[in-house]
Amino acid sequence: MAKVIVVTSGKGGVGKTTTSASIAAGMALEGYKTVAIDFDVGLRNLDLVMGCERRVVYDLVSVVKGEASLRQALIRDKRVENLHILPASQTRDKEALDLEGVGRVVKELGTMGFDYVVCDSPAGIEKGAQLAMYYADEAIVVTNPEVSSVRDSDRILGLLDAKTQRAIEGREPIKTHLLVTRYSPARAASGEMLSVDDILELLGIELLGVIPESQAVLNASNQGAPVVLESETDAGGAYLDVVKRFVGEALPHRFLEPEKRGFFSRFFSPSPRSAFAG
Amino acid sequence: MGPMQAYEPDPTSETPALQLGGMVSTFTVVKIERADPAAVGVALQEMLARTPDLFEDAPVALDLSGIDGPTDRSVGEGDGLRVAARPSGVSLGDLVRALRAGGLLPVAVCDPSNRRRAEARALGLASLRGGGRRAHRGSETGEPATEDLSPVSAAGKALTLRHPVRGGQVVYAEGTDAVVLGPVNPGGEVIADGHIHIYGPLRGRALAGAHGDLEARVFCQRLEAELVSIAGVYLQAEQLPAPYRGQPAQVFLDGETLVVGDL
Repeated sequence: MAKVIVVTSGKGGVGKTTTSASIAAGMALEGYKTVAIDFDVGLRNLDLVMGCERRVVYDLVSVVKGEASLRQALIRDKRVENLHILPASQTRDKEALDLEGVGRVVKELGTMGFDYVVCDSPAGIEKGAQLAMYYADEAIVVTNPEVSSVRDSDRILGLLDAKTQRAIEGREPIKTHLLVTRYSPARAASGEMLSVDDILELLGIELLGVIPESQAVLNASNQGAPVVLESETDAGGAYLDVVKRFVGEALPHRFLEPEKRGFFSRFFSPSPRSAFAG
Repeated sequence: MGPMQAYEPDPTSETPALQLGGMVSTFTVVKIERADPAAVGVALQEMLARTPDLFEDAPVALDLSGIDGPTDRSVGEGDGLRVAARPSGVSLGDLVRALRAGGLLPVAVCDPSNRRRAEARALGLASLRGGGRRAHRGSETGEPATEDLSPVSAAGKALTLRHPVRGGQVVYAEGTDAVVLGPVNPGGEVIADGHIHIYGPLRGRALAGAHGDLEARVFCQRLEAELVSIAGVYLQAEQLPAPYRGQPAQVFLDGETLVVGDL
């Protein structure tokens, strides 16, 4: 039985698609048969970020409508074994999706032997976002360190508690994880952005990881490669940690504290302690 | 159950011709069960015969869901499930006349359909959103609440919530107290006819004594509220006394003044 993960946030532009791509690719790197589904019907970003936009023939809507089989619509990633993408349609009306149809797709993915189904939610709290979360077993709530993003995440957590199949059927509640993206420890320390502690204080859910603000994310996205594949970069390494934590490895959190100052910066601006030492 | 006294801001020296203020009040809601103004008039006369001064010029809001079916709002925005309201043929004007003849003062219609809203406007009646809050089972946006949010307790037994009340969620403890074992986050709202106890920070809204109980209180472990209200008298965030912000506190009515005190 596949485990269904929704990547959601409420607010747009916080890094849901980047996260979906890297979580799915990271799971596949770890040896799990994984599919990423783009629920953002009408915009279609996941295939771009994952670099398979030229290979899209069928999509989620065509499968739900019965115009193509799931096997026809799934795109196999060329770099990572075990990684598959089910793209969104750019041309179809987003009303084309319905709960029953999505349910059939999720169920069939389970019978095809997938371990993880990663659902990339559209922004907002409307039908599209609710469809993406409905069948989820676990949710990764993506938040930027700013007040409006955190408020929207709080709102989404309320929906996850009320509007998912698990909630409606009274089963064990959906498991929620917090992922803070575009984090700059130095700016949090100076009060320019919310700190991870501030965010945890309001949302009160388990911290899955912190992704530092990084040029590597933009570079990877422009090249059509999930940043997790460049694990030597700060953001890529952080996503790999997140994936490993998700599947059960106990790794310490990183990127919470500002980087230690280097030799030269210390040399040119002595710390108060060294001033007193003389 | 008349209108409650509102919190009055400090009067300023220059008094403009017009001032806007807030007031929370409760209405008697009259649910129309038959699309027949004559039958409504008769039923009203029977009620008045039993209790003659029950509704003397009482402002009432009309609930038409009994004759028109639920409007789409009661299903909730954004979930893609819309139930079109099919208003019955009876005119709102005829119903309003029957109620006025019985001594009631209709002032508003709860959750009207578009057609009913147009009729209400023509009659000078307000359209109230969220009229479903009386029979409340979830939030204002129509989300079905979680199992823990949904039960409306039997009278006397407090409504206990074991989850945070998050932004956009509204919980109503009808006829009883609300106990929240966790935070009430910004944009979240707890309404109770009795007391409200919050074992966590209150960052959203808490409205105790929603049906006019002047003895009701709000207790919380950390007062960071957007709004607290007892029986319609309310304080907004910036009106909370500074020494109590972020501190354990209780809020209660002393006469017509809302007081924040130590817990």
